[in-house]
Amino acid sequence: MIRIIDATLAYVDAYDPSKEQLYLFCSLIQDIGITDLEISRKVYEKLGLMPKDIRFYLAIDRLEDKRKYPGIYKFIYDDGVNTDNGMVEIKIADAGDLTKLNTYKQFSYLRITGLDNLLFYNYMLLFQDVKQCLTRSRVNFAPGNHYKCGSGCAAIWGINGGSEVTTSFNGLGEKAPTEEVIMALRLTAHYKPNQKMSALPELSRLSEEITKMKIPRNKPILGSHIFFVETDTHADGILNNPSNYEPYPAEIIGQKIKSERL
Amino acid sequence: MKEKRYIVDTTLRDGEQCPGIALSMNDKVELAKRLDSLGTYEIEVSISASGEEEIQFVEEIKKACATSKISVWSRMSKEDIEKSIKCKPDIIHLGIPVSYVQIYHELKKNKTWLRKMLLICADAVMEAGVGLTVGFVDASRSDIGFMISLAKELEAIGVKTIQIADTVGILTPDRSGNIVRQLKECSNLTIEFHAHNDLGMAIANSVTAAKAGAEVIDCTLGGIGARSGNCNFYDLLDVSESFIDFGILKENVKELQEIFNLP
Repeated sequence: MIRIIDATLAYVDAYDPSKEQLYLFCSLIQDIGITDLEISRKVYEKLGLMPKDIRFYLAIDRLEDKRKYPGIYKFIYDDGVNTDNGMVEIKIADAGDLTKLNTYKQFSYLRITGLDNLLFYNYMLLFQDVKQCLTRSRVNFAPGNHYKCGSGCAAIWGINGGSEVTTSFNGLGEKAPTEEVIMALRLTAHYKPNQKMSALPELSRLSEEITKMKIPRNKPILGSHIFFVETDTHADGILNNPSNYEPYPAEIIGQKIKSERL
Repeated sequence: MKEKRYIVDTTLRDGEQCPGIALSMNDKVELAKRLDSLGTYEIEVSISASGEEEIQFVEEIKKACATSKISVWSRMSKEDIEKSIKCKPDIIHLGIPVSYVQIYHELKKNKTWLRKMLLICADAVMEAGVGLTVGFVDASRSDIGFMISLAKELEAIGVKTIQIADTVGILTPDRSGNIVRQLKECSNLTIEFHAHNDLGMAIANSVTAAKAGAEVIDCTLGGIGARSGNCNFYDLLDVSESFIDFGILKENVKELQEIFNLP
């Protein structure tokens, strides 16, 4: 089963969230089925006592720093740092540079970040190359979202045998949005098909509270108006039988269909 | 060398289904004129003409546009087709349901009825001398074998373009590419791809569809449309500029979005 690591809390330092907000985030993200969270060092300090039943990931500079952070499940190291069996992160800007993966065969756990332009290439061949090159490694893919294709890239990685992706809620830090990847995998690869996601509206409110940024009302999965129907004939069809026109029931994500007849 | 592809802008048709978006008639004509000046291949302007006002509207847009083809969307009914023909568009876009959900549950019909009606409507459009695109509505929930057989039948009667519509927005990039690829393998039809952004993948799906051979991609300004909208015109140009030539400068699209205060 694919593992999704949500890295939202690695990108919130600039917004200075409170301890309560961080705890609430951990609780709500668990409610939508995510139990792997990457956090920043500041977030680690603020949390104090680590919330239960979550695997935490933390980026550090040196192997020796591990002992400062008890309770962390896996440490993340930059390329070039000596590691134990932690995750080594390699940044690959262009899918044409994947050949350099040959130099990382010895690592048991790798994260590939970037590859915003993956879809420009024959990505199926690239995925095969990655798997053939890194036969002994667990590979986490963390696509960038500069071209707004991050969730597409993460989804196709997961659908085509990839074991892990890193995402973030509402795409914070220019990562593939967690909520889009979860729903895509749910609809196309039966990923956690019975998982309740009704905590999404509250997660959205919390995200807006922390970042002071409003989520656009048509944002996929989260937008307040994505189930709002305005036109006359269309509203009839949807209200009579929503599944004929909607990608998934609104109730799954804690919303309802709203209509205003013209 | 960059591959050549074309854009259908459906801001005035599908985009207008976005809650809160309501353009005046004058704004629509002005928008169409500007889209035309950008080099947009086709502008889809309305749904099944309902009366004299609609006919005049399409006529005004045609006068305002020098090179863009002007199209109207029509359901698969003789009455709607006749109304659309009266508008004298360059193209009638005939939307046909191709999924089990749409054919059997929504319309309460069957595939035999669909094939019969499709041929009647397609024939009516072509007899009138109007260009025709046949849109496969809800293609993402349809059977590829059924779509291939329809494509072959349509090609046999002289249809040149079909559209693959991810009506409920559930396609992923690999499925989008695969559907287009399989249809290209079995026909010489021009393929148009219409994405929705419910999973945040409209752009990714449109890119893989274009790479797989879809010659025409549907977009809206600001990505506006029902639910989470359609493929964002500017973002599509931005992501694809290194390998696709749509013949349109993305900066001009951005400017147009800002002029009309679209997100």
